[in-house]
Parts: sequence; structure tokens; C-alpha cells
Amino acid sequence: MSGDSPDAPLPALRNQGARFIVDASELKQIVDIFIHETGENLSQFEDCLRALEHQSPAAFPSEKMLRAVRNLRGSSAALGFTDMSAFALSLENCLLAMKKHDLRANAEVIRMLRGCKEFIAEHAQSLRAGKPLQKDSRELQMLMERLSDPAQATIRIELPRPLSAGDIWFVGDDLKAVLFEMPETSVTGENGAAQGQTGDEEFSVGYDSPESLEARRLDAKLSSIQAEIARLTVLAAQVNRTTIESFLTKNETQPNPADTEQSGVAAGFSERTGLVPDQANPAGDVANGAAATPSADRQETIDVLNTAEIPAAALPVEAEAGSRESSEPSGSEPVKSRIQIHASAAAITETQTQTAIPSSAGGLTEEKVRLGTDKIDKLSDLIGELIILQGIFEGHSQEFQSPLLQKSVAQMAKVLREVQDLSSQFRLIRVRPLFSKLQRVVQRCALQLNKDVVIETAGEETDIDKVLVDHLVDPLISLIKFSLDYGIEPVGDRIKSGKPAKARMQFTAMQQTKSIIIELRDDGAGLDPQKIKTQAVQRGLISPFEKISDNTLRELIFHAGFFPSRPLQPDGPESPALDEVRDKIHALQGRIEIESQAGTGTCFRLHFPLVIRVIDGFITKLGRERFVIPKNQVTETIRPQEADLYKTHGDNEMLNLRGQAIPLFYLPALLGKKPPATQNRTSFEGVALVFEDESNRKFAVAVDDILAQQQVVLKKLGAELQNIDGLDGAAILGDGKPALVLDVRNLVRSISEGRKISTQLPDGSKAA
Amino acid sequence: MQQNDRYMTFSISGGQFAVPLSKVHEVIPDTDVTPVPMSPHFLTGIINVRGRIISVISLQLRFGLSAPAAASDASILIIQNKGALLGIKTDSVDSVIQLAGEQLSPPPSYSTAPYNNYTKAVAQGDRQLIVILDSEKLFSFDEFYAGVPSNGPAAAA
Repeated sequence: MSGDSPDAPLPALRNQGARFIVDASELKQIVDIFIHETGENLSQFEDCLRALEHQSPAAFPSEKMLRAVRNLRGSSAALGFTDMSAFALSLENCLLAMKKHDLRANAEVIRMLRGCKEFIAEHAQSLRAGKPLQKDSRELQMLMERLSDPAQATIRIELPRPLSAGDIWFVGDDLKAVLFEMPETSVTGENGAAQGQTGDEEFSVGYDSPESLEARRLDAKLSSIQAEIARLTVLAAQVNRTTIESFLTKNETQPNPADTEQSGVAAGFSERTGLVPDQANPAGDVANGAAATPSADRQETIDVLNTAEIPAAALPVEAEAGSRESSEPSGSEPVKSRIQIHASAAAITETQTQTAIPSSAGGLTEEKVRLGTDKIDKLSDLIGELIILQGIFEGHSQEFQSPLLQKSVAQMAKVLREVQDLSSQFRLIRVRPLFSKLQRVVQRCALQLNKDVVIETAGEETDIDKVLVDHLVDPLISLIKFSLDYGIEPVGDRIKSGKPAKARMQFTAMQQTKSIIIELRDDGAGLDPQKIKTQAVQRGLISPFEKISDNTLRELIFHAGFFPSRPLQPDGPESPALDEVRDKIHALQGRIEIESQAGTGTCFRLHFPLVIRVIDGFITKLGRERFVIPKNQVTETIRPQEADLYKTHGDNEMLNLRGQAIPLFYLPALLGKKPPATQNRTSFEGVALVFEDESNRKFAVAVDDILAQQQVVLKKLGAELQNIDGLDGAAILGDGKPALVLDVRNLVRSISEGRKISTQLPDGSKAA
Repeated sequence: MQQNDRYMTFSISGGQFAVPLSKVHEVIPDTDVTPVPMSPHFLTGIINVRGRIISVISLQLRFGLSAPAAASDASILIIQNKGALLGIKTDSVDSVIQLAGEQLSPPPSYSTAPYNNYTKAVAQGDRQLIVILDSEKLFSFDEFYAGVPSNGPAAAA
């Protein structure tokens, strides 16, 4: 793209006077490439600008800057963007002239260069959007000419003080320029700084000082919004220090009959020397980078913080106040002083694009990339593979006596972990859409049940794994229906018990260190353990004489068929029953707690690991097979002595765990295989993993051995295997072979339920 | 059928079967599987194919066919259905054939062949009948889960 043939327009490009109409469909590719190149050139340019701002007597203009401008000119000319290439040519000439006359880059020059950069960026954007350019470069070109003229450059030095990047000028009726100076935002560190200390009175606009009440009131209002503007300035400075400068210098003045003859100076704070001819500065078309020093000329209207500069949302009061002020008649004043602050919706968008451009080092194209989840999953899979390979590496690196190798392998592990952490964040999405969906469900169901419910949500900004969002909708709907149907009382009952007629439901999401908690809370009748007990006894689920904790009783609601799910929406899709809800939550590596007090309400609290796909697991051995048992379910592992084991009636074994007898299960039996011949066993050589169930009761599961304890990537099984209880998924182990990940608590529950109708764990021994 | 007129044929227990080529994801050499407890008896296990876990089934076991002679070129034919993958253990994957619509006939309604339920059509091959399988049906294990208590580890015993 070094072609310097300036006039070779492509057929589909029409050069319409000063502006371009681009046929976006045909030229999109070419334009894209051009914009990409422009972005690169601009970022080079920006680098140079930054260098100029921060290290004052840098060589100016640097070769790099010239090269960037030259490249820009070349590529735009080659594509027939003559407007752009002409502009680049002026800029190049300006820079060359400066070089020739050995002019230095003071703040004004830098501002001009920034203006140029923004002009080019905007130009490129309008090309991409296929829209004609809204900006006019004449002003900038004029400025370039002036600044590159050594004779005029000397005048420039006499200016009272160049503006700093962070300054916002406020010209009130008391004729005093109010300066908000932001720390660390000054770009006057170079030549301009020397003059920068001169008196503020220089800024004074030569008004006759008005004494009117109106003016004072105005002044009071002004100062009341100073703080807000200062705050905004800080904000803006945080976004990008340099952007503010363009805020100051870029003007899209509202045409105002009162100041037509003054428009040149009015809009741009043009310098007192009046070097900018008025007629060259039509209202509404003041380019970026116009000289930004306050005018000493009398001017009747000054547009401060002109359109597009203040985000409307952030400054509603000021905008309103400003426009009200401007609409108030002040014609009777000796000197009209009006302040117009415009903040429109369009201004916001413009501000955003403005800030986006300089903040991205790459120049133009800071865009979000949309990625299909399949790609993210693929990436996770591959990273998982890498981690496995890394494990193999690590294992084998021990065989070599190479400290370097081992160090590198350790380093690699560290990097991989970071990559993994990062990739897991790709999957995190806001919980808000899930909550709003649930809200609609509540409203619909409440209507059907003739109940009046207000919903409160908290923690909607919490990021949760997309897997959770996808898989939790149905279970959560079931829980909500349960709350609405069985929890929240009819209005009459509520009033009787002194509750507000409107029931309240709360959805809360929060993140704790390593887990996500989702709460559904209602202020309904709550779960009465005694009622549940009565019902459970009636159904023969428990014996009336059994001593069961209230918590355990409440958990009975998760027993299959305990609470028949009433179809709230006859034609709607069936939502899962509560026992399925619990299973689903378990399948997502989560657990559910019920917190309830009769009369005051119920809270379902769901805990999930922050990232679903990676689990800490024990790789256990069973004969020739290996199974992964998630560590979070295991409280301890022991190697029991023969003396610690004893049999109860039947074949059930108990394990003496520090004096406490807990049931011991053999994994093959849990997996539906033939149990080992325990009778003939003379010694126990395996390892017992101790678990705790939801009711904090312990049980042990025996395996042959624990091979390793490591993080594994949890992978889904095919749909054909997802109905099998107790299988959470699979993990690929170091040798590349998959091993099943077991949900041992669920396995034990299935077994116990198979032997006795009870949700209690692990009472199989009693029943058998 | 007209669009999917190419089929991949494979042999199991001496019988010739085929699935539409469009349903074939890939063919890999037979490999060790990790058995899955509590799963249908015809599911021989799971394998790792480039980070993805795929179940492998044996049609010989599923259809109750006689045991095949030990095959040296045993392969796993991975078929796809709506993004899901399933491996079929074959004695050999044979060839890709072209079949026009008129070469296909509906499965005989009177047949007592154990795979009749899974048969979409039959076609006359060089030496024997080629059974074109309904690949979608292969993905469903309903016949296994139906009539089995959903919480049933005992079912696999």
C-alpha cells in the first residue's frame, strides 16, 4: 500500500465533492483492510503522541510519526479515498514544515495532532459505516497551516496559557474562567508549561461586569454544578486523559443568530490574536483541535462544554439547568451572557465512541467478539487435554535429573492453570436474565393460584457458569412453584396470621470464595416438620417412633412423590418434581439446603462450585477400573485395620471411626456389580473414604486404593447415559483414557432407597 | 432418501449394515473402552476422542446376534445425530455405496429379525441384503430404560 497515485478511485467509489459515498457491500472487504491499516497507523501515531506528551524534548516530528502519516496517505490514496489522502498530505506537509523550521511540539501542536488523529479515526469509521463523513477538515487544515508557519508560531508562544488536557473551562457571568484542573492530566509539560503559570486574569473575557440579580443567580447555579462537572471530569480523565482535550476543542455549535459574527471565536475559544478568520469557521462545523485558549475578544455567547461532551445520563440536572438558563431572556443585560450546556442522547453515543477510540491501543477496532459456546467448550476441552499432557510431562520429568526441565514443567503448569482460570471465566454470564425469567414465571403462576406476590432480587450482577443458567431454569421453576403452591398462603390466611397480604419472594445470587449461592426465599407458611412427619409416617416412609431431626424431615420433601407437583399450567411444559430437582442440582455438583421455620417462610439455598467443569477428585482404583470421586463430598480417607470392621446382621459392614460406628459400603456393590466375597476375606487392604450426607451423617465407601488426588476436567456423558444415577460424568486421566466420575452420595442413596423406602442415608443396614 | 443416497456399510456378526454417510462422523480403530456400570448391557463403555467422551455400543449385543469371529480390522464407527455422537463397534467398516431410491425397500413387516425395529430400509447388496439402520433410533436407549425403575442400579446387574 505504498502507492502514491492519489487519484485512482475504485469504480464503486464515488467522490462526491469533499465526501465519500461508499458502497459498503462491494467494498466492505477493501474498506475493512483499509480500516485495519488505518488503525495500525493511528496507533503508531498515538504512540508518538504519547511520547511527545510524556518526554518533552523528544525529537519532533519523529520518523515514526512521519512514517505513520505517510503510510496513511499512501493507503488512502491507493484506495481512492482522496479526501483522506489529501488530509494526510496536509498533515505530512505540516509536520515536515515543523521539522524544517525546527518548531517544537508544544501543547497546542499536540492538540492539533490529536485533533488530526481523531479526524482520521472518525473518517475511517464513517467509511466503515458507509456513511458520509460529518466532519470537515478545513479547520484543522487551517490550524496546521498556521502552526507550521514559523512566523505565526512565535505569536502562539505569547498566549497566556495553553489549556491542559484535564481542564474544563467555565465562563460565567462574573467573567471569571473557572478552571478545574485535574491531577496528572496536564499535557502542558512541554514548552507550554513555561507560560502555563501566568495569571488567570488573562483568561478573563472582556465583559462588562454585570451586576444584575439574574446574573448572580446564574452564577450560583453555575458553582453548584461545578462539583458535578469536576466529578465528571475525574471520571472522564479516568477513562482517558486525552479524551477530555477533544471535549474541549471539538465543537458542534448550535447555530445562534446572536453570535454569527462571532462564531469563529465563540465556539473554539480561539486565541485572542484572532488568527482564525471568522468566515472560515461556520457555525456547526468547527473541527477538532481548534485552538483552545480563551478569547479576549468580547463575545456574547460562549458555548461551554458543547454538545457531545457531557454524557447526558450522568448530568441530567446540569443539562436541564443549562438549557433553562439559556432560554431565559437576558437581552436587557449590558452584555448577554449565556451558557449552553447540551447533553443529548446522541452525545452519549458520541462520547462513547470518542473514548473507545483512543483507549484501544490498536486504534479503531475495539469490538466485542461473539463466540459460540461450542467454541468455548472446545477450548476448555483442549485446555483440559493440555492439563492432562502436562500431568504426564510432570510425571516423566521426575525421571530426568534436569533442574531446568523440572523448572520449565512447573512453570508450564502455572501458566496452564492461569489459562484454565481464564478460559473458565469465558463461560461466566450474568445471573440477571435467569432471574427475570423466574420473575415472569412467578407472576404467571401467582396469577393462576390467585396469590399476590412481589418479587425482590439481589445480586443480579453475579456471574455464574452458563451451564448453571442453562440447567437451573427448570429446577428453580419447580422450587418456585412449590413455594407458591405450598408455601405462600392464600391472602385470607396471611391477613389472619398478621402478615401483609402481598407475599414476598426473594431471589438472591452471590458469590463466595469458591462457590455460587442462589437463594429462593419466601415469607409463606414455611415447612412444618411435624406435618411432614405425619405425612411420611402415613405413607410408610418412616416409622412413627424414629427420631429424626427437623432438618431431615424437611429434606423429605425431596423424596419422590412426596409433594405431588400440581400442574399449574395445564398446557405448559411439566417442570421436574422435587426429587428430580435435587438430582439435577447434584448433577451440577451442587447441593441444596432448606432453611425454614413454620409460619415465617422457606428458603431454598443452592450451593454450586464457581466453575463447574473442573473438580478436585480422588482417582480411585477398583480392580482394573478407575473411578473419580469428587473430593468435596469426602471428609477424610482412612486405611482401616481389620479390627475396625465388624459385621451387623446380614452382610452389612460397619466401620469403627474413632469410636463411632458408620456403615461401610463397597464400591462394586454400589455400582451394581457383584460384591466382593466379604465372607472369605481375611484382611482388608483397601482404603475407605468417609462421606457425609446432607443430614451430616457419615458413611464410608471402600475402594481398592487411591491412586492420586488431582483436578480433573469434568466431561459430560452422552445423553444416553445421563439418566443413570450416581454417574456425574467422566474425566480423562493421564493416560488419555476416560474414567467415570461418581456421585457417591447419590449412589448410596439409590441403594438405600432400593432396600427401604426412605430418604435417609445410609440405613440400609437396618432394613436389610 | 434422494439426498442421502450414499451409505457407509459395515459388518457385524456376518451381517451387512449401513447408515447414511451424512450420519457418519468418523471411523476410528477399535480401542479399549472404559466400562460404565449401571448402563445397558450393550453399551461396552466410553472412549475419549480428542477430549470428547463418546459411548460405544455393540449392535451384536443390542440385537442379540451371534458372536463374531475375531476380527482383525475391527473399527468403531462414530455416528452423529443432532450434535450427539455415538460409537458403534463393528467387525469391519467396508465401503461407501450409492443407492438410488428405487433400490431401497421398506423393512419387511413380518420380519422377526431382532433389528427390525431399527431398520429403516433394506437394499440388495452384491452378496447379501444390506440393512440400513435408523441411526436416530440407535441413539435412544429407550428400550433399556423403559420398564426399568429409573433409580435402578439393579437393572444393570
